[in-house]
Amino acid sequence: MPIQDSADYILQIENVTKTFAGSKAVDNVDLNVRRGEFVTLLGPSGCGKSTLLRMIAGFEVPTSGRISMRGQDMSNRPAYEREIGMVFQNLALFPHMNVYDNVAFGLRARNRLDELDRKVRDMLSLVGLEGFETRRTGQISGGQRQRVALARSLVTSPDLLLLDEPLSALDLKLRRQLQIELKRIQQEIGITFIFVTHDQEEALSMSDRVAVMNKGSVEQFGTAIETYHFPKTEFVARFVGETNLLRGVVSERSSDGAVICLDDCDTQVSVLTGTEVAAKGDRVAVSIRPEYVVLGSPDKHPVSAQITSHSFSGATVTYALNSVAGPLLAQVPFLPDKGHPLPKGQAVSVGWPADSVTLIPE
Amino acid sequence: MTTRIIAISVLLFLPLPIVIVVLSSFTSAGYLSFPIKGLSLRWYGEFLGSADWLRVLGTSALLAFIGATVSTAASFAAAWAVVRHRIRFGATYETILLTPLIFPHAAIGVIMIVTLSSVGWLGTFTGLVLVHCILTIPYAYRPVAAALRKADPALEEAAASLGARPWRTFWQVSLPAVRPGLVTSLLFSFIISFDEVTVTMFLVGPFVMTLPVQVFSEVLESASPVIAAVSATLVLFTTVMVFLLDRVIGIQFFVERD
Repeated sequence: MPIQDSADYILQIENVTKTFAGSKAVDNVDLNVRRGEFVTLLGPSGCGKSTLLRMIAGFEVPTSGRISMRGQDMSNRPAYEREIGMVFQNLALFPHMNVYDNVAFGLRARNRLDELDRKVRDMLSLVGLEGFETRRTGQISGGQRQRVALARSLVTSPDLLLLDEPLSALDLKLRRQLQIELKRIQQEIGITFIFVTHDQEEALSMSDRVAVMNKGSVEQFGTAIETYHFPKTEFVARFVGETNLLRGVVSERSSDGAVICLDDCDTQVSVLTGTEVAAKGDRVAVSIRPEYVVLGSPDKHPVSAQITSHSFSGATVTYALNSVAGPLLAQVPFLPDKGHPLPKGQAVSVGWPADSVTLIPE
Repeated sequence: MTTRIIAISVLLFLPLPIVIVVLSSFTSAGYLSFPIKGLSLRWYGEFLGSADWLRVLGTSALLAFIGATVSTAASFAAAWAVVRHRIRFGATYETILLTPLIFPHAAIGVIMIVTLSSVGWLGTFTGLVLVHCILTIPYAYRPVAAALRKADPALEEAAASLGARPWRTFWQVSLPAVRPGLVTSLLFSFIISFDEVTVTMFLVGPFVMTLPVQVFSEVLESASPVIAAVSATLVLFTTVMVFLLDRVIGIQFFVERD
């Protein structure tokens, strides 16, 4: 990546650590976010993603490290001077105000009263809530409350919007619909989103880049495709999608890949990606996504296995296999004319394309 | 069936003294009696036509108003510290605030005579205000603390993220969020102060007198039905306050646990 001027970054997080009662909630995080990006902080609960977001918002003070926005150090700026928008997990709509006054609050608070009415109405129409102005926040549905929260945070035209698991309370269908809508609004007004979620599908489908967090640290920060296809750590491989992790030792190492010995070298796996971090003799793991595993494979290192169970999910069927290299999952197209679902106990040989395997250091 | 009869009898029996007082205030006789002899409003005329009675009514109303306002403001500040800032020993502090509820009123009266006379406030309006604040704080504290515990702290963060300075956040977000609690605190402490007799008895003097204490001393001296008229007015006033409270926020707000 070419060296960028810090002005290209709307947000720079440098060596930020936050300690609560002796334990590190956020541990030495570095993260740079470009203007207009959709960045997701993804991780299980307790991984520090919300704490990191709250430090960006100015609700928590980092124990050490620095947070800058638009090239300026924000360490001593209170939340109300950071010129950001935020959508809260429980939305935090003002219960004693109607929809219109909730949305207008930010403009009034910043004393931007010119064209206040037009801006509030434009924002309500952007989120599809015209006609709801005088409703109380308790009188509208969950999805509508969501839209009010979004409109309220966007009306002051911030260039950075923080979203703390805003969709987690909604049912699946509404959630999908709002994901698409959020992405549309983000692209339409071209602002930077920092989105916190524990849902990896949500993260992959919406984000330009995903920061996968675990135990307070960012384990990997890359595009959605990179984090899914080239996980750099075992945690990322397991947390972002399902995967098969096979453990072994590097037996050959060449300029364009490596060979990993599994199971006392009875089985060998060729790896093309992620091999630069390993040397011959290292103990490593390899990650193979279930959808790359092929049954009855002609690959040069086929592995023999037995089917232990299957689960059908419409277009695909996922087999649990017991192989010489350990348990494996294979997700294959469901083709009735090929005899799917295959019966339990059937012996199959399985393989995978060499470029679908990623090496993960132990 | 038997329990039902008992329950109904108790419910009928409890308000009976009030009913008797109210009925006897309409007597035309010159002395307190029940059942009443003849119907008349003369004792209400006597009450409302008497400068002395109206003066003590005014004193009581002003005392209750100032006491309730100060108690509620102090309770809000205390609850803010305990609930929002989670100060050390918050629970102990809450218990101390609630002690006037269980401390014997006669003892408080005696202690207050000593305390107020040492600063020269015995028999003054200022002294009564101070004591009524102490007595009403337990009633004012609970609703406002319960409201603060219920209010979402993220509301204040949301206001800050929208650019509101702390002062605006306080007036436009924090305070309205606990408004039902504040109204309950105000009304309850007003009623408690307005009806308070036992401690106030020790502290009144020739220059300051409250309505309930005046009723008490009249009853010792004479049995004029004007006392019944005053009492009936107090009952009506308290009922209206409680009714208002119930209409505005619902009485269960005070009764439920926080």
